[in-house]
Amino acid sequence: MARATDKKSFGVSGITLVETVISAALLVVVVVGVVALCAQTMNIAHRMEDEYRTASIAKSRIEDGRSYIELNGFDALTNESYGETDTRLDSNGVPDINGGFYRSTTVTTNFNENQRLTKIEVSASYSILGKKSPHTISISSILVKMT
Amino acid sequence: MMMPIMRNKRGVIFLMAIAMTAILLFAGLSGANMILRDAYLIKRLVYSMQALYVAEAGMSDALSRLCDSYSLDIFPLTGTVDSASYTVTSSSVAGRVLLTSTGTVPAGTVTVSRAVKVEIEDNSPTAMNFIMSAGNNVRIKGGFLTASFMNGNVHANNNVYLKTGIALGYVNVTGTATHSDGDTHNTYIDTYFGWIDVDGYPRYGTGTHVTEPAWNGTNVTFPVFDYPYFAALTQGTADTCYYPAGHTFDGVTLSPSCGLIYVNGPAVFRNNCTINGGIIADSIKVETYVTWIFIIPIIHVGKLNQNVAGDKNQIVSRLGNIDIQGELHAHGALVYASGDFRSIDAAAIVDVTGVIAAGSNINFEDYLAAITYNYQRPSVKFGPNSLMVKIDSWNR
Repeated sequence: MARATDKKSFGVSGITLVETVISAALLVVVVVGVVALCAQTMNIAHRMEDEYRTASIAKSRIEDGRSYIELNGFDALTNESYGETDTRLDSNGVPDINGGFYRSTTVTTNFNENQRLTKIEVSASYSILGKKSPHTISISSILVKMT
Repeated sequence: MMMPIMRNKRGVIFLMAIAMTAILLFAGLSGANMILRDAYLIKRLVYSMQALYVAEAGMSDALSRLCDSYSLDIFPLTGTVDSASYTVTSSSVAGRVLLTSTGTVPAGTVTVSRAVKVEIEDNSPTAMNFIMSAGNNVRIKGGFLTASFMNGNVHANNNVYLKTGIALGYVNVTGTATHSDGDTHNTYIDTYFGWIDVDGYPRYGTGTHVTEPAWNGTNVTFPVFDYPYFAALTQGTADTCYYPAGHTFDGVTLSPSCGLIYVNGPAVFRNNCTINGGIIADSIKVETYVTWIFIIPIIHVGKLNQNVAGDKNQIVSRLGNIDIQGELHAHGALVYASGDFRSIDAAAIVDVTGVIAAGSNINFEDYLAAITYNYQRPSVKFGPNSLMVKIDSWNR
Protein backbone atom coordinates (compact mmCIF):
# COMPACT_ATOMS: atom_id res chain seq x y z
CA MET A 1 0.00 0.00 0.00
CA ALA A 2 2.79 2.31 1.02
CA ARG A 3 4.76 1.43 -2.09
CA ALA A 4 1.77 2.03 -4.17
CA THR A 5 1.29 5.45 -2.57
CA ASP A 6 4.96 6.33 -3.05
CA LYS A 7 4.76 5.37 -6.70
CA LYS A 8 1.71 7.58 -7.17
CA SER A 9 3.35 10.49 -5.41
CA PHE A 10 6.46 10.08 -7.48
CA GLY A 11 4.42 10.06 -10.65
CA VAL A 12 2.47 13.24 -9.75
CA SER A 13 5.60 15.13 -8.79
CA GLY A 14 7.35 14.21 -12.04
CA ILE A 15 4.50 15.38 -14.18
CA THR A 16 4.28 18.63 -12.20
CA LEU A 17 7.93 19.33 -12.77
CA VAL A 18 7.64 18.84 -16.51
CA GLU A 19 4.53 20.91 -16.48
CA THR A 20 6.23 23.62 -14.53
CA VAL A 21 9.20 23.73 -16.86
CA ILE A 22 7.02 23.86 -19.95
CA SER A 23 4.74 26.44 -18.39
CA ALA A 24 7.65 28.56 -17.30
CA ALA A 25 9.16 28.37 -20.77
CA LEU A 26 5.85 29.29 -22.34
CA LEU A 27 5.41 32.19 -19.98
CA VAL A 28 8.92 33.40 -20.59
CA VAL A 29 8.37 33.28 -24.36
CA VAL A 30 5.05 35.08 -24.11
CA VAL A 31 6.24 37.66 -21.64
CA VAL A 32 9.30 38.39 -23.72
CA GLY A 33 7.09 38.63 -26.80
CA VAL A 34 4.60 40.91 -25.12
CA VAL A 35 7.33 43.09 -23.68
CA ALA A 36 8.95 43.32 -27.12
CA LEU A 37 5.56 44.15 -28.62
CA CYS A 38 4.97 46.81 -26.01
CA ALA A 39 8.42 48.26 -26.58
CA GLN A 40 7.83 48.34 -30.30
CA THR A 41 4.40 49.94 -30.01
CA MET A 42 5.73 52.44 -27.50
CA ASN A 43 8.44 53.24 -29.98
CA ILE A 44 5.86 53.69 -32.73
CA ALA A 45 3.76 55.83 -30.41
CA HIS A 46 6.77 57.94 -29.61
CA ARG A 47 7.61 58.30 -33.28
CA MET A 48 4.03 59.20 -34.09
CA GLU A 49 4.10 61.85 -31.42
CA ASP A 50 7.31 63.19 -32.95
CA GLU A 51 5.73 63.02 -36.38
CA TYR A 52 2.70 65.00 -35.30
CA ARG A 53 4.89 67.58 -33.58
CA THR A 54 6.97 67.78 -36.76
CA ALA A 55 3.87 68.36 -38.88
CA SER A 56 2.68 71.00 -36.43
CA ILE A 57 6.05 72.73 -36.64
CA ALA A 58 5.77 72.77 -40.45
CA LYS A 59 2.20 74.04 -40.29
CA SER A 60 3.15 76.79 -37.85
CA ARG A 61 5.86 77.94 -40.23
CA ILE A 62 3.30 78.47 -43.00
CA GLU A 63 0.98 80.33 -40.65
CA ASP A 64 3.92 82.44 -39.49
CA GLY A 65 4.48 83.24 -43.17
CA ARG A 66 0.99 84.67 -43.35
CA SER A 67 1.70 86.81 -40.30
CA TYR A 68 4.97 87.90 -41.89
CA ILE A 69 2.98 89.08 -44.92
CA GLU A 70 0.52 90.92 -42.69
CA LEU A 71 3.38 92.75 -41.00
CA ASN A 72 5.74 93.36 -43.90
CA GLY A 73 3.67 93.11 -47.06
CA PHE A 74 3.29 90.31 -49.56
CA ASP A 75 6.39 91.13 -51.57
CA ALA A 76 8.56 90.98 -48.46
CA LEU A 77 8.12 87.22 -48.24
CA THR A 78 11.04 85.89 -50.25
CA ASN A 79 13.45 83.03 -49.97
CA GLU A 80 16.10 85.50 -48.83
CA SER A 81 13.96 86.86 -46.03
CA TYR A 82 12.12 83.73 -44.95
CA GLY A 83 13.99 80.73 -46.35
CA GLU A 84 16.05 78.52 -44.04
CA THR A 85 17.90 75.21 -44.05
CA ASP A 86 17.85 72.70 -41.20
CA THR A 87 17.05 75.11 -38.43
CA ARG A 88 17.09 73.14 -35.16
CA LEU A 89 14.06 73.59 -32.95
CA ASP A 90 12.71 72.31 -29.70
CA SER A 91 9.41 70.46 -29.50
CA ASN A 92 7.53 73.77 -29.26
CA GLY A 93 9.03 74.99 -32.51
CA VAL A 94 11.36 77.46 -30.80
CA PRO A 95 14.87 77.68 -32.29
CA ASP A 96 17.27 75.74 -30.11
CA ILE A 97 20.69 74.54 -31.20
CA ASN A 98 20.20 71.37 -29.21
CA GLY A 99 16.60 70.87 -30.29
CA GLY A 100 15.35 67.55 -31.57
CA PHE A 101 13.56 68.89 -34.64
CA TYR A 102 14.84 70.21 -37.97
CA ARG A 103 13.04 72.57 -40.34
CA SER A 104 13.79 73.87 -43.84
CA THR A 105 11.73 76.50 -45.64
CA THR A 106 11.78 77.34 -49.33
CA VAL A 107 9.90 80.33 -50.73
CA THR A 108 9.25 80.61 -54.46
CA THR A 109 7.98 84.01 -55.54
CA ASN A 110 6.23 84.54 -58.90
CA PHE A 111 5.14 80.92 -58.74
CA ASN A 112 4.17 79.64 -62.20
CA GLU A 113 5.25 83.07 -63.47
CA ASN A 114 2.31 84.59 -61.65
CA GLN A 115 3.25 87.69 -59.66
CA ARG A 116 0.31 87.18 -57.35
CA LEU A 117 1.43 83.75 -56.21
CA THR A 118 4.14 82.72 -53.78
CA LYS A 119 4.78 79.09 -52.96
CA ILE A 120 6.01 78.19 -49.52
CA GLU A 121 7.32 74.72 -48.82
CA VAL A 122 8.30 73.62 -45.34
CA SER A 123 10.09 70.32 -44.71
CA ALA A 124 10.54 69.20 -41.15
CA SER A 125 12.00 66.15 -39.49
CA TYR A 126 12.92 64.94 -36.03
CA SER A 127 15.95 63.29 -34.56
CA ILE A 128 16.26 59.64 -33.61
CA LEU A 129 19.01 58.80 -31.17
CA GLY A 130 20.55 62.20 -31.73
CA LYS A 131 20.62 61.90 -35.51
CA LYS A 132 18.37 63.59 -38.05
CA SER A 133 15.75 61.19 -39.31
CA PRO A 134 15.75 60.74 -43.09
CA HIS A 135 11.96 60.79 -42.94
CA THR A 136 10.68 64.33 -43.52
CA ILE A 137 7.20 65.77 -43.48
CA SER A 138 6.58 68.42 -46.11
CA ILE A 139 3.72 70.85 -46.15
CA SER A 140 3.39 73.09 -49.17
CA SER A 141 0.96 75.83 -49.93
CA ILE A 142 0.54 78.76 -52.26
CA LEU A 143 -0.26 82.20 -50.96
CA VAL A 144 -2.08 84.78 -53.05
CA LYS A 145 -1.58 88.51 -53.17
CA MET A 146 -4.98 90.14 -52.91
CA THR A 147 -3.98 93.79 -52.97
CA MET B 1 -12.02 21.76 0.31
CA MET B 2 -10.13 22.70 -2.85
CA MET B 3 -11.80 23.37 -6.14
CA PRO B 4 -12.29 20.22 -8.16
CA ILE B 5 -9.69 21.11 -10.74
CA MET B 6 -7.17 21.78 -8.03
CA ARG B 7 -7.78 18.42 -6.35
CA ASN B 8 -6.00 16.73 -9.19
CA LYS B 9 -2.62 18.39 -9.46
CA ARG B 10 -1.94 17.07 -12.93
CA GLY B 11 -1.97 19.92 -15.47
CA VAL B 12 -2.92 22.66 -13.04
CA ILE B 13 0.26 24.69 -13.51
CA PHE B 14 0.11 24.25 -17.24
CA LEU B 15 -3.47 25.40 -17.33
CA MET B 16 -2.63 28.37 -15.20
CA ALA B 17 0.28 29.20 -17.48
CA ILE B 18 -1.97 28.97 -20.52
CA ALA B 19 -4.51 31.26 -18.84
CA MET B 20 -1.84 33.77 -17.90
CA THR B 21 -0.40 33.56 -21.38
CA ALA B 22 -3.81 34.26 -22.86
CA ILE B 23 -4.35 37.22 -20.53
CA LEU B 24 -0.90 38.61 -21.28
CA LEU B 25 -1.35 38.14 -24.98
CA PHE B 26 -4.79 39.73 -24.91
CA ALA B 27 -3.59 42.69 -22.89
CA GLY B 28 -0.47 43.12 -25.03
CA LEU B 29 -2.28 42.85 -28.33
CA SER B 30 -5.09 45.14 -27.16
CA GLY B 31 -2.61 47.76 -26.06
CA ALA B 32 -0.65 47.42 -29.27
CA ASN B 33 -3.80 47.65 -31.32
CA MET B 34 -4.85 50.82 -29.52
CA ILE B 35 -1.49 52.41 -30.09
CA LEU B 36 -1.42 51.34 -33.72
CA ARG B 37 -4.86 52.84 -34.18
CA ASP B 38 -3.60 56.05 -32.63
CA ALA B 39 -0.63 55.91 -34.97
CA TYR B 40 -2.94 55.47 -37.93
CA LEU B 41 -5.02 58.41 -36.77
CA ILE B 42 -1.96 60.59 -36.39
CA LYS B 43 -0.75 59.62 -39.87
CA ARG B 44 -4.16 60.47 -41.17
CA LEU B 45 -4.10 63.82 -39.36
CA VAL B 46 -0.78 64.68 -40.93
CA TYR B 47 -2.04 63.78 -44.40
CA SER B 48 -5.17 65.78 -43.70
CA MET B 49 -3.06 68.78 -42.69
CA GLN B 50 -1.10 68.50 -45.93
CA ALA B 51 -4.31 68.20 -47.94
CA LEU B 52 -5.73 71.32 -46.30
CA TYR B 53 -2.76 73.40 -47.38
CA VAL B 54 -2.94 71.98 -50.88
CA ALA B 55 -6.63 72.97 -50.97
CA GLU B 56 -5.61 76.47 -49.92
CA ALA B 57 -3.00 76.48 -52.66
CA GLY B 58 -5.76 75.68 -55.16
CA MET B 59 -7.90 78.47 -53.78
CA SER B 60 -4.99 80.90 -54.12
CA ASP B 61 -4.51 79.83 -57.72
CA ALA B 62 -8.20 80.38 -58.46
CA LEU B 63 -8.31 83.76 -56.73
CA SER B 64 -5.21 84.98 -58.52
CA ARG B 65 -6.88 84.22 -61.83
CA LEU B 66 -10.13 85.87 -60.81
CA CYS B 67 -8.27 88.98 -59.60
CA ASP B 68 -7.17 89.64 -63.15
CA SER B 69 -10.25 88.52 -64.98
CA TYR B 70 -13.46 87.63 -63.26
CA SER B 71 -14.74 84.70 -65.24
CA LEU B 72 -16.27 81.59 -63.72
CA ASP B 73 -15.61 79.80 -67.00
CA ILE B 74 -12.18 78.81 -65.66
CA PHE B 75 -13.81 76.26 -63.33
CA PRO B 76 -13.30 73.43 -62.67
CA LEU B 77 -9.68 74.40 -62.20
CA THR B 78 -7.11 71.72 -61.49
CA GLY B 79 -3.45 71.86 -60.59
CA THR B 80 -0.68 70.19 -58.67
CA VAL B 81 1.57 71.09 -55.77
CA ASP B 82 4.46 68.64 -55.64
CA SER B 83 2.85 65.18 -55.54
CA ALA B 84 -0.54 66.48 -54.38
CA SER B 85 -3.35 67.86 -56.50
CA TYR B 86 -6.26 70.27 -56.19
CA THR B 87 -9.55 70.89 -57.91
CA VAL B 88 -11.47 74.12 -57.57
CA THR B 89 -15.14 74.32 -58.49
CA SER B 90 -17.68 77.12 -58.34
CA SER B 91 -21.36 77.22 -57.62
CA SER B 92 -23.78 80.11 -57.70
CA VAL B 93 -26.80 80.26 -55.47
CA ALA B 94 -29.02 83.34 -55.42
CA GLY B 95 -26.28 85.53 -56.81
CA ARG B 96 -23.73 84.30 -54.28
CA VAL B 97 -20.71 82.58 -55.69
CA LEU B 98 -19.05 79.88 -53.64
CA LEU B 99 -15.68 78.42 -54.56
CA THR B 100 -14.73 75.03 -53.21
CA SER B 101 -11.14 73.87 -53.41
CA THR B 102 -10.40 70.25 -52.63
CA GLY B 103 -6.81 69.25 -51.97
CA THR B 104 -5.85 65.60 -52.29
CA VAL B 105 -2.64 63.95 -51.12
CA PRO B 106 -1.59 60.37 -51.77
CA ALA B 107 -1.48 58.35 -48.56
CA GLY B 108 -0.10 54.96 -49.46
CA THR B 109 -2.71 53.05 -51.39
CA VAL B 110 -5.46 55.58 -50.64
CA THR B 111 -5.80 59.35 -50.80
CA VAL B 112 -6.77 61.92 -48.21
CA SER B 113 -8.76 65.03 -49.17
CA ARG B 114 -9.71 68.26 -47.48
CA ALA B 115 -11.74 71.18 -48.75
CA VAL B 116 -11.85 74.91 -48.17
CA LYS B 117 -14.66 77.18 -49.25
CA VAL B 118 -14.61 80.84 -50.15
CA GLU B 119 -17.53 83.09 -50.93
CA ILE B 120 -16.65 85.75 -53.47
CA GLU B 121 -18.16 88.74 -55.23
CA ASP B 122 -17.55 90.15 -58.65
CA ASN B 123 -15.60 93.34 -58.04
CA SER B 124 -14.96 94.22 -61.68
CA PRO B 125 -16.43 97.29 -63.36
CA THR B 126 -20.05 96.61 -64.16
CA ALA B 127 -19.48 97.37 -67.83
CA MET B 128 -18.03 93.85 -67.98
CA ASN B 129 -21.52 92.47 -67.43
CA PHE B 130 -22.95 94.00 -70.59
CA ILE B 131 -22.39 93.23 -74.19
CA MET B 132 -22.47 96.96 -74.78
CA SER B 133 -22.49 99.93 -72.44
CA ALA B 134 -21.82 103.63 -72.77
CA GLY B 135 -21.21 106.48 -70.38
CA ASN B 136 -23.41 108.69 -72.53
CA ASN B 137 -25.68 107.27 -75.26
CA VAL B 138 -26.01 104.06 -77.22
CA ARG B 139 -27.33 104.52 -80.75
CA ILE B 140 -27.92 101.48 -82.89
CA LYS B 141 -29.69 101.55 -86.19
CA GLY B 142 -30.59 98.63 -88.36
CA GLY B 143 -30.04 100.35 -91.67
CA PHE B 144 -30.89 99.41 -95.22
CA LEU B 145 -31.39 95.64 -95.38
CA THR B 146 -29.09 95.15 -92.44
CA ALA B 147 -29.45 93.10 -89.34
CA SER B 148 -27.90 93.94 -85.99
CA PHE B 149 -27.66 91.20 -83.40
CA MET B 150 -26.76 91.90 -79.80
CA ASN B 151 -26.68 88.75 -77.74
CA GLY B 152 -26.51 90.16 -74.24
CA ASN B 153 -27.55 93.21 -72.24
CA VAL B 154 -27.21 96.81 -73.38
CA HIS B 155 -26.96 99.82 -71.10
CA ALA B 156 -26.41 103.55 -71.48
CA ASN B 157 -25.89 105.89 -68.57
CA ASN B 158 -27.98 108.38 -70.55
CA ASN B 159 -30.20 107.17 -73.40
CA VAL B 160 -30.53 104.09 -75.54
CA TYR B 161 -31.72 104.64 -79.12
CA LEU B 162 -32.67 101.60 -81.10
CA LYS B 163 -33.84 102.34 -84.62
CA THR B 164 -34.52 100.76 -87.93
CA GLY B 165 -34.16 102.69 -91.12
CA ILE B 166 -36.65 103.24 -93.85
CA ALA B 167 -35.98 99.92 -95.52
CA LEU B 168 -36.19 96.59 -93.73
CA GLY B 169 -33.75 97.04 -90.89
CA TYR B 170 -33.63 94.52 -88.09
CA VAL B 171 -32.33 94.94 -84.55
CA ASN B 172 -32.38 92.15 -82.04
CA VAL B 173 -31.25 92.53 -78.43
CA THR B 174 -31.59 89.21 -76.65
CA GLY B 175 -31.06 90.78 -73.21
CA THR B 176 -32.27 94.04 -71.74
CA ALA B 177 -31.74 97.56 -73.09
CA THR B 178 -31.61 99.79 -70.05
CA HIS B 179 -30.75 103.39 -69.25
CA SER B 180 -29.92 105.12 -65.98
CA ASP B 181 -32.33 107.36 -64.11
CA GLY B 182 -35.84 106.86 -65.51
CA ASP B 183 -36.88 110.47 -64.82
CA THR B 184 -34.54 112.11 -67.26
CA HIS B 185 -33.44 109.33 -69.61
CA ASN B 186 -35.11 106.77 -71.79
CA THR B 187 -34.83 103.82 -74.01
CA TYR B 188 -36.20 104.95 -77.38
CA ILE B 189 -37.43 102.44 -79.90
CA ASP B 190 -38.18 103.73 -83.39
CA THR B 191 -39.14 101.43 -86.21
CA TYR B 192 -39.48 103.38 -89.41
CA PHE B 193 -39.86 100.29 -91.48
CA GLY B 194 -38.39 97.31 -89.78
CA TRP B 195 -38.33 95.12 -86.72
CA ILE B 196 -36.84 95.66 -83.29
CA ASP B 197 -36.83 92.91 -80.73
CA VAL B 198 -35.68 93.55 -77.15
CA ASP B 199 -35.59 90.76 -74.59
CA GLY B 200 -38.16 88.82 -76.60
CA TYR B 201 -40.48 91.82 -76.84
CA PRO B 202 -40.97 92.75 -80.52
CA ARG B 203 -41.78 96.13 -82.05
CA TYR B 204 -42.30 96.32 -85.76
CA GLY B 205 -44.08 98.12 -88.53
CA THR B 206 -43.85 101.61 -89.87
CA GLY B 207 -43.57 104.65 -87.71
CA THR B 208 -43.60 102.99 -84.30
CA HIS B 209 -42.01 105.34 -81.82
CA VAL B 210 -42.09 104.39 -78.19
CA THR B 211 -40.15 105.18 -75.07
CA GLU B 212 -39.53 102.83 -72.24
CA PRO B 213 -38.75 104.97 -69.18
CA ALA B 214 -39.28 102.00 -66.90
CA TRP B 215 -36.33 100.17 -68.44
CA ASN B 216 -33.92 101.81 -66.10
CA GLY B 217 -30.95 100.50 -64.24
CA THR B 218 -27.98 101.77 -62.29
CA ASN B 219 -25.03 103.56 -63.87
CA VAL B 220 -22.41 101.22 -65.22
CA THR B 221 -18.81 101.66 -64.15
CA PHE B 222 -15.97 101.46 -66.64
CA PRO B 223 -12.51 99.92 -66.47
CA VAL B 224 -9.60 101.95 -65.22
CA PHE B 225 -6.40 100.82 -66.89
CA ASP B 226 -2.95 101.31 -65.42
CA TYR B 227 -1.45 102.72 -68.65
CA PRO B 228 2.08 103.42 -67.29
CA TYR B 229 2.26 99.77 -66.25
CA PHE B 230 1.36 98.57 -69.75
CA ALA B 231 3.75 101.06 -71.36
CA ALA B 232 6.59 99.79 -69.17
CA LEU B 233 5.59 96.18 -69.74
CA THR B 234 5.68 96.51 -73.53
CA GLN B 235 8.92 98.51 -73.50
CA GLY B 236 10.66 95.71 -71.68
CA THR B 237 10.19 93.10 -74.40
CA ALA B 238 12.65 91.93 -77.02
CA ASP B 239 10.16 92.14 -79.86
CA THR B 240 8.47 95.38 -80.86
CA CYS B 241 5.48 95.71 -78.57
CA TYR B 242 5.90 99.40 -77.84
CA TYR B 243 5.53 102.21 -80.38
CA PRO B 244 6.67 105.60 -79.02
CA ALA B 245 4.49 107.55 -81.46
CA GLY B 246 1.43 107.04 -83.63
CA HIS B 247 1.69 104.13 -86.07
CA THR B 248 -0.08 102.76 -89.11
CA PHE B 249 -0.25 98.98 -89.28
CA ASP B 250 -0.68 97.86 -92.87
CA GLY B 251 -1.58 94.25 -93.55
CA VAL B 252 0.38 92.83 -90.62
CA THR B 253 -0.05 90.03 -88.12
CA LEU B 254 0.98 91.00 -84.61
CA SER B 255 1.72 88.39 -81.96
CA PRO B 256 3.28 90.40 -79.14
CA SER B 257 5.31 88.35 -76.69
CA CYS B 258 3.81 90.17 -73.72
CA GLY B 259 0.32 89.78 -75.14
CA LEU B 260 -0.17 93.46 -75.89
CA ILE B 261 0.80 96.21 -78.33
CA TYR B 262 1.14 99.68 -76.85
CA VAL B 263 1.05 102.70 -79.20
CA ASN B 264 1.84 106.01 -77.60
CA GLY B 265 -0.25 107.85 -80.18
CA PRO B 266 -3.02 107.03 -82.66
CA ALA B 267 -3.07 103.55 -84.21
CA VAL B 268 -4.43 103.05 -87.71
CA PHE B 269 -5.09 99.67 -89.26
CA ARG B 270 -5.14 99.27 -93.02
CA ASN B 271 -5.82 96.25 -95.16
CA ASN B 272 -5.99 92.89 -93.44
CA CYS B 273 -4.41 93.07 -89.99
CA THR B 274 -4.45 90.52 -87.19
CA ILE B 275 -3.65 90.92 -83.50
CA ASN B 276 -3.18 87.87 -81.33
CA GLY B 277 -3.77 89.48 -77.96
CA GLY B 278 -4.62 93.13 -77.38
CA ILE B 279 -3.70 96.71 -78.17
CA ILE B 280 -3.71 100.01 -76.33
CA ALA B 281 -3.42 103.23 -78.30
CA ASP B 282 -4.45 106.86 -77.92
CA SER B 283 -7.11 106.24 -80.54
CA ILE B 284 -7.81 103.44 -82.97
CA LYS B 285 -9.05 103.59 -86.51
CA VAL B 286 -9.75 100.73 -88.85
CA GLU B 287 -9.36 102.57 -92.10
CA THR B 288 -10.65 101.92 -95.57
CA TYR B 289 -8.98 103.92 -98.33
CA VAL B 290 -9.18 104.27 -102.07
CA THR B 291 -6.45 104.17 -104.69
CA TRP B 292 -6.99 104.94 -108.34
CA ILE B 293 -5.92 103.25 -111.51
CA PHE B 294 -6.68 105.92 -114.07
CA ILE B 295 -10.29 106.60 -113.29
CA ILE B 296 -11.02 103.24 -111.65
CA PRO B 297 -11.19 103.39 -107.87
CA ILE B 298 -9.71 100.48 -105.93
CA ILE B 299 -11.20 100.25 -102.45
CA HIS B 300 -8.92 98.80 -99.79
CA VAL B 301 -11.13 97.71 -96.95
CA GLY B 302 -9.38 97.88 -93.59
CA LYS B 303 -9.81 94.82 -91.41
CA LEU B 304 -8.73 94.23 -87.87
CA ASN B 305 -9.01 90.66 -86.63
CA GLN B 306 -8.36 90.02 -82.96
CA ASN B 307 -7.69 86.52 -81.66
CA VAL B 308 -7.51 85.45 -78.06
CA ALA B 309 -3.95 85.03 -76.79
CA GLY B 310 -2.76 85.38 -73.23
CA ASP B 311 -4.57 87.42 -70.60
CA LYS B 312 -4.65 90.90 -72.16
CA ASN B 313 -7.32 90.59 -74.79
CA GLN B 314 -8.23 94.25 -74.83
CA ILE B 315 -8.65 96.75 -77.65
CA VAL B 316 -8.42 100.07 -75.87
CA SER B 317 -8.37 103.68 -77.01
CA ARG B 318 -6.68 105.48 -74.16
CA LEU B 319 -7.75 109.02 -74.95
CA GLY B 320 -9.97 109.14 -78.01
CA ASN B 321 -12.32 107.12 -80.19
CA ILE B 322 -12.40 103.78 -81.84
CA ASP B 323 -13.55 104.44 -85.38
CA ILE B 324 -14.57 101.64 -87.67
CA GLN B 325 -14.51 102.43 -91.32
CA GLY B 326 -13.85 98.89 -92.47
CA GLU B 327 -14.29 95.76 -90.41
CA LEU B 328 -13.56 94.78 -86.84
CA HIS B 329 -13.70 91.13 -85.90
CA ALA B 330 -12.86 90.42 -82.26
CA HIS B 331 -13.05 86.84 -81.08
CA GLY B 332 -12.91 87.33 -77.32
CA ALA B 333 -11.96 90.87 -76.33
CA LEU B 334 -12.88 93.88 -74.31
CA VAL B 335 -13.31 96.71 -76.80
CA TYR B 336 -13.10 99.89 -74.76
CA ALA B 337 -13.08 103.43 -76.09
CA SER B 338 -12.42 106.26 -73.67
CA GLY B 339 -14.36 108.44 -76.10
CA ASP B 340 -16.75 107.05 -78.70
CA PHE B 341 -16.96 103.67 -80.34
CA ARG B 342 -18.54 104.29 -83.71
CA SER B 343 -18.90 103.40 -87.33
CA ILE B 344 -17.71 106.10 -89.68
CA ASP B 345 -18.58 104.45 -92.93
CA ALA B 346 -21.87 103.29 -94.39
CA ALA B 347 -20.56 99.75 -94.89
CA ALA B 348 -18.74 99.24 -91.60
CA ILE B 349 -18.95 95.75 -90.17
CA VAL B 350 -18.38 94.98 -86.52
CA ASP B 351 -18.40 91.47 -85.21
CA VAL B 352 -17.41 91.25 -81.57
CA THR B 353 -17.46 88.35 -79.18
CA GLY B 354 -16.68 89.84 -75.81
CA VAL B 355 -17.59 93.16 -74.25
CA ILE B 356 -17.94 96.61 -75.80
CA ALA B 357 -17.75 99.70 -73.63
CA ALA B 358 -17.38 103.39 -74.37
CA GLY B 359 -16.76 106.18 -71.91
CA SER B 360 -18.89 108.44 -74.09
CA ASN B 361 -21.06 107.13 -76.95
CA ILE B 362 -21.61 104.04 -78.99
CA ASN B 363 -22.87 105.02 -82.42
CA PHE B 364 -23.74 102.56 -85.11
CA GLU B 365 -26.24 104.40 -87.22
CA ASP B 366 -24.75 104.17 -90.64
CA TYR B 367 -26.70 103.21 -93.63
CA LEU B 368 -25.31 99.72 -94.13
CA ALA B 369 -23.38 99.21 -90.92
CA ALA B 370 -23.88 95.69 -89.65
CA ILE B 371 -23.08 94.46 -86.21
CA THR B 372 -23.03 91.14 -84.40
CA TYR B 373 -22.20 91.25 -80.73
CA ASN B 374 -22.02 88.13 -78.61
CA TYR B 375 -21.48 88.60 -74.90
CA GLN B 376 -18.59 86.70 -73.44
CA ARG B 377 -16.48 87.65 -70.48
CA PRO B 378 -13.03 88.21 -71.99
CA SER B 379 -9.71 87.56 -70.32
CA VAL B 380 -8.27 91.01 -69.76
CA LYS B 381 -5.91 92.78 -67.43
CA PHE B 382 -6.45 96.30 -66.12
CA GLY B 383 -3.11 96.52 -64.37
CA PRO B 384 -0.78 94.60 -62.08
CA ASN B 385 -2.90 95.21 -59.02
CA SER B 386 -6.39 95.13 -60.40
CA LEU B 387 -8.77 93.22 -58.18
CA MET B 388 -11.83 91.95 -59.95
CA VAL B 389 -12.83 89.71 -57.12
CA LYS B 390 -13.78 90.46 -53.57
CA ILE B 391 -13.66 87.84 -50.84
CA ASP B 392 -16.68 87.81 -48.55
CA SER B 393 -15.70 84.87 -46.39
CA TRP B 394 -13.03 82.20 -46.27
CA ASN B 395 -13.92 78.95 -44.54
CA ARG B 396 -10.82 77.02 -43.54
